[in-house]
Amino acid sequence: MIEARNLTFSYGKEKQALHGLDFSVEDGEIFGFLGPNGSGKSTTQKILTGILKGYGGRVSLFGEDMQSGHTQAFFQKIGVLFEFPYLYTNLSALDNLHYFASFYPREQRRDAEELLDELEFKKDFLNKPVSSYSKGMRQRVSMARALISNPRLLFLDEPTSGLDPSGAVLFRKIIEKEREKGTTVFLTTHNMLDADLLCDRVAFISNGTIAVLDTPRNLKEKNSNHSIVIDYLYQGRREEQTIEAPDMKAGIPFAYDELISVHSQEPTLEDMFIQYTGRGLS
Amino acid sequence: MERLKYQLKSVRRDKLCILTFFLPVVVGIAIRLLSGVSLQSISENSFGVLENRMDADTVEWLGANGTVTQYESLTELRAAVNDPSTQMIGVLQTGSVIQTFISGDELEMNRVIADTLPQIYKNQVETLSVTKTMIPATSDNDWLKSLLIVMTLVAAMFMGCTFNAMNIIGEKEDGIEFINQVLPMSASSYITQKTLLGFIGGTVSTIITALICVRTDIEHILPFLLIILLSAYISALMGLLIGCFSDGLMSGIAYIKVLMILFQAPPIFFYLTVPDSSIIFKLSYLLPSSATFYGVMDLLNGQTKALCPALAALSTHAVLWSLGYRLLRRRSGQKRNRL
Amino acid sequence: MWRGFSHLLKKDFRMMISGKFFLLALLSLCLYSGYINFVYAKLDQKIFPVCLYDPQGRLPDVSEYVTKLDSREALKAACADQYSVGIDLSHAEPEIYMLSCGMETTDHYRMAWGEAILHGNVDGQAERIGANTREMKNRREITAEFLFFELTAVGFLGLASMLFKEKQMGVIRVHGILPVCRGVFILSKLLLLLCSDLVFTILLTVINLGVSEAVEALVGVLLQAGILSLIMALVGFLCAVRLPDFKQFSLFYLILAVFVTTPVFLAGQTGMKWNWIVYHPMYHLFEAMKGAFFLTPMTKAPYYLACAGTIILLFLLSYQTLNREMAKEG
Repeated sequence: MIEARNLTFSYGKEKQALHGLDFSVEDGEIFGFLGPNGSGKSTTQKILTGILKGYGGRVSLFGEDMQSGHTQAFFQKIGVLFEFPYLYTNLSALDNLHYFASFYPREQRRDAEELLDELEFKKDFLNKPVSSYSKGMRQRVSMARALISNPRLLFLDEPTSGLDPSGAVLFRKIIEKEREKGTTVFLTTHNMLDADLLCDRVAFISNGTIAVLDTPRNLKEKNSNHSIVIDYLYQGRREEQTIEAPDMKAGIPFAYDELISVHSQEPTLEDMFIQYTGRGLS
Repeated sequence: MERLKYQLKSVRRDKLCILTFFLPVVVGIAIRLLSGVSLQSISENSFGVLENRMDADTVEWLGANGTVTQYESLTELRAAVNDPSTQMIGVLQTGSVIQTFISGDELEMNRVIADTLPQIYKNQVETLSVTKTMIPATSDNDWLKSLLIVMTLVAAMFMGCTFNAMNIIGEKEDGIEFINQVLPMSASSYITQKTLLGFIGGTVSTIITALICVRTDIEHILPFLLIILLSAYISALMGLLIGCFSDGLMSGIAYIKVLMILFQAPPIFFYLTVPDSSIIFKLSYLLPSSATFYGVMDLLNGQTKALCPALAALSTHAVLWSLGYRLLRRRSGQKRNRL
Repeated sequence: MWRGFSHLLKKDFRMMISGKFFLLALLSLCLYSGYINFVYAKLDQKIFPVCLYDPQGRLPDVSEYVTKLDSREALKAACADQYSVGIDLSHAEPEIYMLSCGMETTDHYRMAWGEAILHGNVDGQAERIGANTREMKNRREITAEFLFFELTAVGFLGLASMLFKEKQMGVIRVHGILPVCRGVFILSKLLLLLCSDLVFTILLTVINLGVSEAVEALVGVLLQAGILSLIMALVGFLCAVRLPDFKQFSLFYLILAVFVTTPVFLAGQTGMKWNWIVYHPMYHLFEAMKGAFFLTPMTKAPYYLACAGTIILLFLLSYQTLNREMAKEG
């Protein structure tokens, strides 16, 4: 679906933002693009969505080289959710969706009301101006806007930002549903939980280079020290021991009266990021 | 059309655009409601006299030559004559003779009238045998009223830029411009949509205003419409430029205000002070609003002398501004890509 | 408290500089002065020109108001402006020819003027009772108008745009928790704007009236400018704090500029008489300003009492609104 080879970009002469990125995204995959502010992830997304031109290297989407230009047919196939909920604040949610939908072929469009219903948008607000919406409601309308054209490739930038925990769960379900339909998702996020739960593969980008690219599971496994921390009670005292995973083959290798908790010492995605890039996510 | 519907809906909900739309209409109604007499009286000769201290015939004669205001005392009369906002000539009568007095700060015309009025009054008695030929006015020629109407119409036409400029600026502020970049919409479709917004706003507002305060012959309707359409189109292009170059609401509003002053003041100034045969007057056609102003003024006066140059100038402006806008857009596009 | 005040003053001064407030004021000064000196001061209207077609030379002594023409066609063409008066002496009986200008009284006077020229008696001298020349009257009049416009509309906008910037940046909220009196927050802005307006007033008056005339008028003009500046700055402050965004403020500004100041200018400048205009507060401010320029200063105590009351009321309202806004933002 997406293939980037030796992708470079610079803002002016001395501001090299991307230093030769190589990655590919398969059809129907959810690909996570993680990096701190100023690392080049927005630049990459802008190049992929056709907003930025003048890059170096080769980028192809839908099997076509993007250097030849992003055509209207290309834009018909993609959906983009921006970091902020950009909407006409003086129009209602329905007006916004009808307006943006009007740019796509009729047979490709989804029903605006159904979509909003799916996103659990409050019905009372359907015809009220966006200026009266909360941040979460605006984010729901923005998501509906990105999905209204039934895109084959979906770019999502911080999709769960501004949502309460139940809203975030709902959004993750919607994204999963899109994957089931065969939609490819390019997810840019700071939210490690989203990346961990949703992404088939993730790329950590730092200072314009990809530090590592793999599945979240592999990343965690590869860097795990395979140790387990066991919290237990023995002869009335609470104790804790760390043992290696292979030692567990024959059961718990020490005496205890009662087990309180067993924790695997698998690193988190954030730990991995710091390990690979030397920087925290901010 | 579907897209335009929502764009117009967005404009309709913008209070600034609504006010811009209705402002010329309200002014048009005000001009229509103001009686011709009250506006004409500003440019008429103004005489101040003392109550009950002048013959009725003399008052009647003065009334035939201008407006007459009666004052109870000489102090009041002198104060009124001295009032800098008036061009009043004080008139006193002694027997069959009248004397005049003025403040001394009047226009030359009023000074000459004041100086010669006693003599002209005396001439009534010694009438000459003269043929008097007065060609009637071709139209209701209250020049001040015409001037106000033309100013209002020019403002309505060129205020069209507010509609699309505010729409583009609003899109920038709401972040819609980012969405526009990933929509399957060609640049020409975007330009057409935004131009239509300004064009429709300017045209409809002008036509409503014109229906309220303009009475013209049927044969003048077509050229009048042409002027409106061309001016509204140029104004819409200005709106695109303002929208393109404004980085926020404050700068956008400032640009619109500067543009309106630039488009309103020079044509009035040139029309009133510079002879139409002079080079400066011809150079004033470099400003599109001048062509509109002269053309509409001519039509209101029932003439067609300035019509052809006005239409030619407006057509040229329309073509040049379109090309200029395309060039600027291409350049800014290239610049954005280089960044 | 005064230490805080001086810091606020410094900050507001920097904000005004960065907002190009002084640059705009300077540009306005240049624009107004250029227009006054090169255009308005010279504005005049000549008496109706008389065009004479006299092939036999029957009118030997023609006055300075007469232009001789060679043909009847030339006479008709010259009279097409609906202003000139034509005299045709090619026939036995003289003919006064003209195109109606659309105003009965003016046409009547033009005809009488043509006859007076034929009579050959256009001499005389009316008594002059005023002290101003036309040029000085024009200068005083337009300077008063520009100053009034600058203080009511432009200054008002300047302060509001500065305040909107602070609102957008959210620093008004920060001032709510600083150990500085909120009244001082308003005072520092008022003081800066007042000083800037007074300097503008002095420059505009001196440049356009000349030093000697300006000195005579300045005390009265500065007093009126100070009153107007304070009132408008407080109205601007109140609106900028109260209204949610700059767009709504612009709307209010447009209404103020068009519907509030236009009748004042019309009534004050053209001699149009409307009975209701006395209830328009801006009319009295304009008349007082104009009076100061024409050396007939406003002496009515109720006017000054009303101005002082308005300023105090506006200050209290601004203070209350600012308090509410700070609480809301916080």
